[in-house]
Amino acid sequence: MKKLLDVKNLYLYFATRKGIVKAVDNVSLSLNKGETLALVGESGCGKSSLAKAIIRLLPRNTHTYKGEVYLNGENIMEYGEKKFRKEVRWKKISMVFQGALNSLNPILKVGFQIAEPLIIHENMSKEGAYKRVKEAVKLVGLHEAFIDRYPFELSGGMRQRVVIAMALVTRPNIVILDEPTSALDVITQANIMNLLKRLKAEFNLSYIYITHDIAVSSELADKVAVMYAGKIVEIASSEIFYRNPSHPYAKKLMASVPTLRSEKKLDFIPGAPPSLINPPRGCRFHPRCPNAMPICRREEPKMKEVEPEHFVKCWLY
Amino acid sequence: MIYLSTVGAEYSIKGIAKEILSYKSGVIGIAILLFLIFLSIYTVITIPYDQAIRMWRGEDRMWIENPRNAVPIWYKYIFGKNIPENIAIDSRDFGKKLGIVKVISDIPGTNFKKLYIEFTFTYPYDDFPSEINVFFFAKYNMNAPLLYIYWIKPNNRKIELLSYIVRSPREDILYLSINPVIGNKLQNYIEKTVGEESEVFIPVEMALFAVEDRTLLSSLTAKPLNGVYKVIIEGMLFEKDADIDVRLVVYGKAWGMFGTDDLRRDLLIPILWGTPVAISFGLSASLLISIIHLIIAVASGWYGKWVDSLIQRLTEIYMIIPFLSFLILIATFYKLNIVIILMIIIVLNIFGGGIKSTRALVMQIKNYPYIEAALAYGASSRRIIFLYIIPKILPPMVPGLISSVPGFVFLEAGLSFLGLGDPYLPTWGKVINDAFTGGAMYKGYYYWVLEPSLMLILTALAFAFLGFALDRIVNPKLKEM
Repeated sequence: MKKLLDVKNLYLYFATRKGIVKAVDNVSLSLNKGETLALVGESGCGKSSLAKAIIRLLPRNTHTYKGEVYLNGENIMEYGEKKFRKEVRWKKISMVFQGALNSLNPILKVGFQIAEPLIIHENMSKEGAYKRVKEAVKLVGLHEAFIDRYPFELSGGMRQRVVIAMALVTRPNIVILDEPTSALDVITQANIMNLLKRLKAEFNLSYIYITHDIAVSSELADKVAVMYAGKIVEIASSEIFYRNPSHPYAKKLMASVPTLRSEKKLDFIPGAPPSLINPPRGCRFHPRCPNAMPICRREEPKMKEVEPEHFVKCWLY
Repeated sequence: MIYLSTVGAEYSIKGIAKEILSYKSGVIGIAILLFLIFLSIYTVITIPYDQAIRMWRGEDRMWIENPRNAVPIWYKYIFGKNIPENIAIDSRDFGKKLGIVKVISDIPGTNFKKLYIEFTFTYPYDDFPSEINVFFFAKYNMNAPLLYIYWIKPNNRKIELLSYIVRSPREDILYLSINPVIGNKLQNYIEKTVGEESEVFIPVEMALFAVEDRTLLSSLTAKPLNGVYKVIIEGMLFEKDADIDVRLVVYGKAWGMFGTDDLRRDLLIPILWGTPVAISFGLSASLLISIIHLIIAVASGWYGKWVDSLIQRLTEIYMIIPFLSFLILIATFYKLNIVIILMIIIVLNIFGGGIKSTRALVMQIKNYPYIEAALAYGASSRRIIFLYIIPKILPPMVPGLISSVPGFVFLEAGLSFLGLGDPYLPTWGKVINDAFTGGAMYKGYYYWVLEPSLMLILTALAFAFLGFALDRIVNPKLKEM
């Protein structure tokens, strides 16, 4: 299958007063058409930074930003800022941001806000854009009348739908979902997940689904990538991953997920996530790893294909 | 959908007005402001700019019949005293008004004519007039008319004031009050009547209107004599076509709604004209400076890097420049009109302290997720600035804008007070300046200082009250339930 998105050796470092934060450190991953990649990991491991690196939404204090990102075989890293803005953002890749309330401008009506990408990218008139906006709003299961409301008049779930409508209105191929359900209650989460599934099937969308909630990610994921301290430590198809996680960190993550039906002692990972300014030498997980070996302290492991479509970065394999 | 429409209303002007009116200070502010705006419109319509300037300059001796330093007429209601008002009698009104007689009779065999004019008026006031002038409107070619003027008091004493030869065939004024001949004559007359010498000079208008007893010897005890007065002017006209008309003006001590200044000008003009000048000056200075600050602050906060550094350093330099000293310096060297003064104030304020706080707001908003989202879907900087940032920081700026209006109103008044304001416009500050140089407080002309001051205070209060109300509306933490 032809790869839709292929990220190779992507780096994104931030300069801070304390030092350089290696938020995304030599990350490679790929995404096929119609596929969902779940990107899981603890808070602060660089998931959102990776998403921002892909869509090139860099903060002011960016220190290093390099690597290759192929979209339909073209390296979009070589695009100029203007070309990137015009041709990639929202045209090909759109994004649903963390925290739906905050990603809506409180002083613009919902409809106008959804229309914004259309007005900007397709030079549509306001009337023409509103037609598409109405379609998009219906698509995400909201009533047309909502386009005349302000964000604060909507509930959390509705806002999330609005943000999703905003991401879909330009009909992109890839949607990056950055914790789309993190602030919602369980019922609403389920609704949104079903909505995302339906949209994916309807438009053959590809998702990059960023979450710290492994349980919810299993709903949507075709492929899972586990991120730890700015690096991807395991990538596998979801059937393999959820049944048999291989990296010690991934195992611990899975063990910490509560289940409803069976009695299970919840496991946790001792220690705290490492600083991204001074990550540990060798394997970055070794200070917290139950299976740490001397080599882990010295050398960083390579990504290894332990079985078809299952890559792990660990000296155990 | 009912919910939707009510919430939508909060963003409309009507909604904001409604909310302002829910605060007492808002109601007061709006009421005063509306009154001042109405006054401004009324002023500009009834007394156009050119006319106001002409009146303020006092062209063509247009104020000659006003008393100097007259208090407002309504003083009499406050102090319960019948303060004298102007009495003007004109021989040209003979036949039209009562109390005027004018007879010209030919002397047979000559070209000469005999003139007899008699004015009769009652004087009901509790105080002496401030001044008495006689205006002559003569018509002759070579030989000026000769006149004798007599003054008859209610006690029927007839005083011959003087014989007078008209000096000009056009308009001639006899300043009775300061005429030394009349002064001496009256002094003698009084001393003879009272039988005692006066240590001080008795003013003419006092001698002519007072009860003739010992009280007259001091200006503190002299009492006006109420009743019917007569002024008789007899004379000879030496030419066939010669004619003369006389106008007697007994100046009062109260005039109009606002009184007059030491140049006899009606204070109504500067009090009324001060309103549109002050409001438009204050509002435009405040508005323009706020807009400039907004633009600069947004540019500084949004673009960051060297733009930010440059703007911030410039602001810091500007903040230590002594603004008022500079303004006074410039205004001293050049006589500037009000528009130029406004421009200079704006230029001296371009990088004001307001930039710092607005920039801080921009920096905060810049990092909001929805700005990041807008960047992500490809909105340009301009779009983000005008559609996302400015609408967000505008509401907190409005109370500041309104509250800073009085500062500029006072600044203009202050410049005028220092004699550095617009040289032509009648403004409140200029009236205070005139009052100061005219010794108003020393001489007790309080109305002269208080009227423009009260207008200034009223203007300041209007904007301050409105600012308070707006502040509470945009600052929910200050909101009262």
